[in-house]
Amino acid sequence: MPDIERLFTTYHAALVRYLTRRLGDRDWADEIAQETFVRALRQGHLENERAWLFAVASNLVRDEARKDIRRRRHLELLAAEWEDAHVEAPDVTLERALDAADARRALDALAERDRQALLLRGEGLDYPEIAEILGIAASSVGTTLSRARKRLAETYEAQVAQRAHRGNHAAS
Amino acid sequence: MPLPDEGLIHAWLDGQLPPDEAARVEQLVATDAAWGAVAAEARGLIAASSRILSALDHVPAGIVPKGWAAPVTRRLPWWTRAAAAVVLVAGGSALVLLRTPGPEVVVPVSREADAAGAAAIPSAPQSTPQTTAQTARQAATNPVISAGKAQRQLVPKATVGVTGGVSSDSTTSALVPSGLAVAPAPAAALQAVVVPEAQAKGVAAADQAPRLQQSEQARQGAVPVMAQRTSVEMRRDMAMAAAAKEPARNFAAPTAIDARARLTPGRCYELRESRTSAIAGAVMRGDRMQGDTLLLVPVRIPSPARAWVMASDGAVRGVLTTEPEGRGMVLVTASVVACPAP
Repeated sequence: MPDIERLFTTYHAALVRYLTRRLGDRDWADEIAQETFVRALRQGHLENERAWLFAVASNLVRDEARKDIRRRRHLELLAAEWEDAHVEAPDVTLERALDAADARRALDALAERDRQALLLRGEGLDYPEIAEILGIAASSVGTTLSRARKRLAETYEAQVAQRAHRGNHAAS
Repeated sequence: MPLPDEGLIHAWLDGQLPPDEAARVEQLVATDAAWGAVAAEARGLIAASSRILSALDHVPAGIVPKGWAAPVTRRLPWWTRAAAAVVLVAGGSALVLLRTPGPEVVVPVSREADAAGAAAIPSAPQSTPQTTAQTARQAATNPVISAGKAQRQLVPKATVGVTGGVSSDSTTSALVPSGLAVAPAPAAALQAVVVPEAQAKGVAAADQAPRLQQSEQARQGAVPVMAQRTSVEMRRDMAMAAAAKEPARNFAAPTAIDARARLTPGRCYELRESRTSAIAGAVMRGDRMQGDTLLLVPVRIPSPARAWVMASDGAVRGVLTTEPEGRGMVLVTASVVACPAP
C-alpha cells in the first residue's frame, strides 16, 4: 500500500487544480481527486505515482465526459445557481468572471489532447509523464504543447478583443 | 542552419531536453535570428498560457452542496408530532373563537371527533394536495363537511380559510370556496377556520400576500433544487461507473464481509487515527456509497471535513480530510457508534 498521506500531501493540491481547470467545477474536482486517492489507497506499489494519479484522474474525467449532455446541463444549472448564490464586490466579480469565461472558452477551443497536455504541464508533469498519460511519444510532447499554447493565447486574445469591441460599441 | 523547431524550443524552455541537446538549441537561439525570434515568442506563449490557465482557478467551491452532503431529515417521534398537531389545532380554534363574534363559529361536534381529526394529521403522509374546485363547490353547498370520523358543522354561507396544508387522506379533508387560494404546503398541519364572510375576506386578503410570496419563492427555488438533484444523480452515476470498472474483488473472507457490512449510509462512525489510535475529529455519518467506498460527512453541518472509508483487512479504514484543500489529511480506522443527538 502506498504511503497515502505522503501522496496526498504531495499531489492533492496539484491534482485538484488540474481537475478544476479541466472541469470548471471545484466540488466535482474534489470528488474525483478523492476517488483517485481512494484508488491509490487500495493499489499496491505505484511505479510512477504522479503519472499514475493524474492518469487515473484523467480516466475518471473521461468516464464522466461520456455523459456529456447531462454534464452540460448540470454545469448550466450550477452556473445559474452560482450566479444566484454568490455576491462579491461588483468589480471583482465582473473582472474575474469575464477573465475566467474568456479563459474557459479559449481552453475549450483546444483539441482534447492539446488541452490535457497543457493542463498536465501546468501542474509540473514532465514530458515522459505527459506522454505516458496521453499515450503519445515523449518526443511529440513539445510540439503538442507549442501548438496548444499558441492556440490558447490566440483564442484568448481574440476573446478579449471581441469583448473590448463590444464594450466600446455599448459605450458609444 | 536548420529551420526553427517550435516543439524543440518549447521543450528546451521547459527544461525537458537532455544536456547535450539543450546546449545545441541554446547555441542556435543565441546565434540565429530566426531561432531567437521563435524562442522569444515561445517564452511569451508559455507565460501567457500560464496566466490564462490561472484564471480558471477562480472557481468557487460549495456551489453544489447546499445540503447534499448530509440531507438528513429528522423525524420526530409520532407522539411528539401528534402533540404538536393537537396544540396547533387547539391554538387555531382558540384564535378563531377570539376573533369571531356572534354565533357563526364552527364548533366541533365532539371532542372525540376533534381529537380524531388532530390525530389524523401527523399520520397523514406528505401527499399532493387534492383540494379542487369540485370540493370547493361542495363546501359551498353542503353545510356539513365530512372529515372521516371528524365532522365539523359549518354555518351556511361561511367562508373557509385554510392555512398550512391539506391532506388527501380519507380521514381529513379541507374545503375551500372558489376564489380563495390554498398554499400547496406539505400536510404538516391542518386548520379549518370558519369565520364570518366579511371577516374572512379580510383574513384571506391578508393571507394571500405571504402565500403568493411563498409560491414565488418556491418557484424560484426550483432551479437550485433541480441542480442539487442533478448533482446527486451525477455523483451517484460517477460512483457507479467507477465501481463498474473496478475488477471483481473477492469478499469471501469472513472478515471482509463483516467489515463491508459495517459500511452503511446513515450509520455514525467514530474515526481514530491509524497511527496513534487517537480520536480524529467528531463523529461522522455515512452519507452514501461510492463504489465500495463510503463517504462520511460531519453530523453537524457545515464543516469541510470529509472521510472516505472502505473495508480493508477486516476493518473499516480510510482517509479523513479536515480542510477544503485537503490539508490535515490522516489515515483513519472507523468504528460504528451511536449517532449523537443533534
